[in-house]
Amino acid sequence: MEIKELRGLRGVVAAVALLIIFVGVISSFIQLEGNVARGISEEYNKLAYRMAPNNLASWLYDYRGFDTLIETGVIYVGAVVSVMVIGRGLVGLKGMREEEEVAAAPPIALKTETMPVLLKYFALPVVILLLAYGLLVVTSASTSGGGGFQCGVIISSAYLLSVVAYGRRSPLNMRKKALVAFGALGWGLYTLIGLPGYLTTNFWQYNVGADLWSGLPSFPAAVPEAFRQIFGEPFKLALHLEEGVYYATSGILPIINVAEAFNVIGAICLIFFAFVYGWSDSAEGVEK
Amino acid sequence: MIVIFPEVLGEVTPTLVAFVLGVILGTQMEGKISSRTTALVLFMGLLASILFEAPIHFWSVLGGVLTEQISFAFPFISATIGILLGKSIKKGGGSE
Repeated sequence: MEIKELRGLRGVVAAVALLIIFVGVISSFIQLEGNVARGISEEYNKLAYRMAPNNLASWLYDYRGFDTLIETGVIYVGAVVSVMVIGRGLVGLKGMREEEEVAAAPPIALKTETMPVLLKYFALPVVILLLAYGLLVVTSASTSGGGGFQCGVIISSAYLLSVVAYGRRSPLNMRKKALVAFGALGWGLYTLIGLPGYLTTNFWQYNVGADLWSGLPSFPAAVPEAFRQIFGEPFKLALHLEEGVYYATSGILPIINVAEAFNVIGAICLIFFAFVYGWSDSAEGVEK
Repeated sequence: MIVIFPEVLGEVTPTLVAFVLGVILGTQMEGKISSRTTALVLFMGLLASILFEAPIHFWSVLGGVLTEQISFAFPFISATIGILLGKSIKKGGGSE
């Protein structure tokens, strides 16, 4: 990619995002010296030492937010490298007609007529249910042992199962652009979601929350209460310790989980994509 | 005894989020699904949601809890419906 391709809105967005992240992360590291603030995991442990409603999520994203970010970054870089090495030529440039050409290659698809009965009737339902299971895992991440990474791996497994069962023209036919968009969106969201924590605590990736409904004062009084009853307070970070009534909410952890899920979906499926579509003899930079 | 205060957790929010994400992923699917397969997916999804049960700390019908022993994982059902819907709204998708 040349610098001139970063001109325009895309370049401005990229530059601003990188600047925000750079300033925030660097200043966070500077302020760490002798001033490490305790996270909320200890409260969670006291809260529910037998139920562990949020331990995994709080460990991953509270104490180990940077570590998890870099881990997901490694996966993403691995995906990009795999595509560049194995799928050379698949990494198309602007203006090149690469998608249709690759997809039009002779398929290795298994015809359903020749598939075993079990695969013929249950492969597609299992793929769909695997996708749904992945979404169940990510939406329950803040109150169970699941999380964004697990969701991404489950959905990637669905993609792989679909390709193994049906070949290249599988029902779950994620396009390269979609996978790249998923990965980039997820990683970018994960990184930038550290900004609210930085603005309120001076620590990047710090788990914070917000009272969503009280921020809407223009609503009639009855409406926010009804919303609060139905939708709860998903972004509120609260810890209430009182005899008989204990509760804790997860702040921005659900958003981070969704972001990581899309990052992992994009990265791992992109690796599968490179293996499935394999080698392309077209040299990069050559118009097809 | 630990009692988890229910309102702050938001029993409907995960269901809605799963539905929206399901629609997004459903748009990545291609081809047509027969009505028999669609019915099979919905039936298996319903069975699976009973096996998975409602997420921990959910307590009302809104969260899928019918009784203490019987509950549904509504996010799973809504994700399944979202995937089928996302697939159907995509050009060339839908059921036969």
